[in-house]
Amino acid sequence: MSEKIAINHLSKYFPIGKGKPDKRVLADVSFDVEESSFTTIVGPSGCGKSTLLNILSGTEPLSSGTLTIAHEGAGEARVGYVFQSPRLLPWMTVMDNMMFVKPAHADKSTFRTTAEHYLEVVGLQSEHKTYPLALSGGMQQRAGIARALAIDPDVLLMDEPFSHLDEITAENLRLELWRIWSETQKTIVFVTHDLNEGILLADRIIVLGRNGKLLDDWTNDLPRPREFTNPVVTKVMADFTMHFFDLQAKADLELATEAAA
Amino acid sequence: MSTQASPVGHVSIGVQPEDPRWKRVLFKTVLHPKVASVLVILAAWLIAAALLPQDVIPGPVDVLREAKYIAVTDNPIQAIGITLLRIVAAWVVAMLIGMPIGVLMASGRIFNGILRDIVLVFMALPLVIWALLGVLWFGGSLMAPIVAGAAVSFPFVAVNVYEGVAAVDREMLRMARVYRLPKLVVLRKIMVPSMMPFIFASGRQAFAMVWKTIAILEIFGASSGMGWEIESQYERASLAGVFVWIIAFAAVMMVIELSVFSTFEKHTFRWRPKIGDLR
Repeated sequence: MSEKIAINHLSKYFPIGKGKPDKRVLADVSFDVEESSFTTIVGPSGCGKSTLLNILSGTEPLSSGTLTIAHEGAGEARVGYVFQSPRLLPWMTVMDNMMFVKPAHADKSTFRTTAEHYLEVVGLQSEHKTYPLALSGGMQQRAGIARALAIDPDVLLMDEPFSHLDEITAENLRLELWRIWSETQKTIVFVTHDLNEGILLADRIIVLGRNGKLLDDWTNDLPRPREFTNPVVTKVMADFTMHFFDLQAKADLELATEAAA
Repeated sequence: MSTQASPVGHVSIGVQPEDPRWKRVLFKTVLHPKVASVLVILAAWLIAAALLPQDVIPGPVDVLREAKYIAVTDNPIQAIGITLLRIVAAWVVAMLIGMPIGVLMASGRIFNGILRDIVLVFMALPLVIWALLGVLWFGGSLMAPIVAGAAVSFPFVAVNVYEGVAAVDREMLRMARVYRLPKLVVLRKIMVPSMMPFIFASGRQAFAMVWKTIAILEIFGASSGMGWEIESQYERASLAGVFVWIIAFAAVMMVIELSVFSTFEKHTFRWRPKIGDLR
């Protein structure tokens, strides 16, 4: 498989005020993402995982390092984004929300056909004319996923998309996402603070620490489908959680030592 | 095995029995909020007219007689038409001035600093001063009510629109950036719809302010319109005549609210779920 995203020595600093040193959010992060792979980025809050996703989406500039997303044709790579909240415009129907993200160069009727296809993929084929506020939270998030897929993205970025949903809905959507990913073979980068969610979904887990550094890059070769009820899966979850907290403790210690110095 | 009816066997929790027919008819007619409010005012009027002398509160019969007289001798439709023309013209000007000022105020610290004080000064001046200035500057021309009405109401439009821009969901704007949407699309599809509740509120408020300003202006500075008619009745010392025009004022205002603002509002906010539609 070929490389889809290449991140080399990426750092990100935020200014926090005059006379104060900039706050480091990401420090010298390097990793590659293979085409059609499912990668999750995990870490405690404030570790820069959402910032990394924003940089990948092109809405946040990086401070140093390089980032490349392989794509066909001229111009920028197409990025689909599923947010924590669905961010559907409430005054537009589900279909209008899909059409809203139509790239300027795309043909309207072709795009509508694609939008219809992805609404069907997420099971919302009968909700074209429904306004988002009349849908449940899970259905709204499905529409958000369909919208991100409709632009035929080079990469699909997902920022804790199931964290606002109840566990039963979240679990159903995880299974559906896995099915959609198997069918579409999109390259997915999925941010989550939930380690178990990362293990259930991804082939690869990138661990970030509060010091902004990449702490671990772990390949998850558990067979699919992965379920909570499978003791092999729960054993991996328990072991990975222990390992994760070990890594975070070391990173926090490093951060404290740096601050003291 | 013996069967015994459960003591809660006939209780259906969460399902409310439908109201009887007479109750539904009552709520759709006299107890309908819009009808009920008119009935309450009418009842209060009848009681006040019965308790107070006729030269303080004239009774409905006297007012009806006077209304019939006015309808025959005057041209009330023309008076209402002239006042409405003045109000609509001043309101349109107020919205056209107030909305861009509100957007400018929200667009940066410099504009905000300059415009906020100007708007506050306009807001602080009593409307009677603008009515007076309008007449002094433009006499009986259409410019007098336009200038006075717009000057009184545009600050409220500007402040409401400013609040509207500030209330636009920044997360939606970021979503638009992720999908590389052109600025014009963002303005049309995100900014303007987000601001609609504020634009509606400012439109209603401006309409009421313009209405009051022009009524005052017509009372002392015009020779036509509903305000002038009230003044004429005052000259004739006809309290019933004044009442006829006050009722006409309220009626026209209500008709505009129900036919224009409410209809437009219903259409604009049709995306809001009705109770019972929520899943």
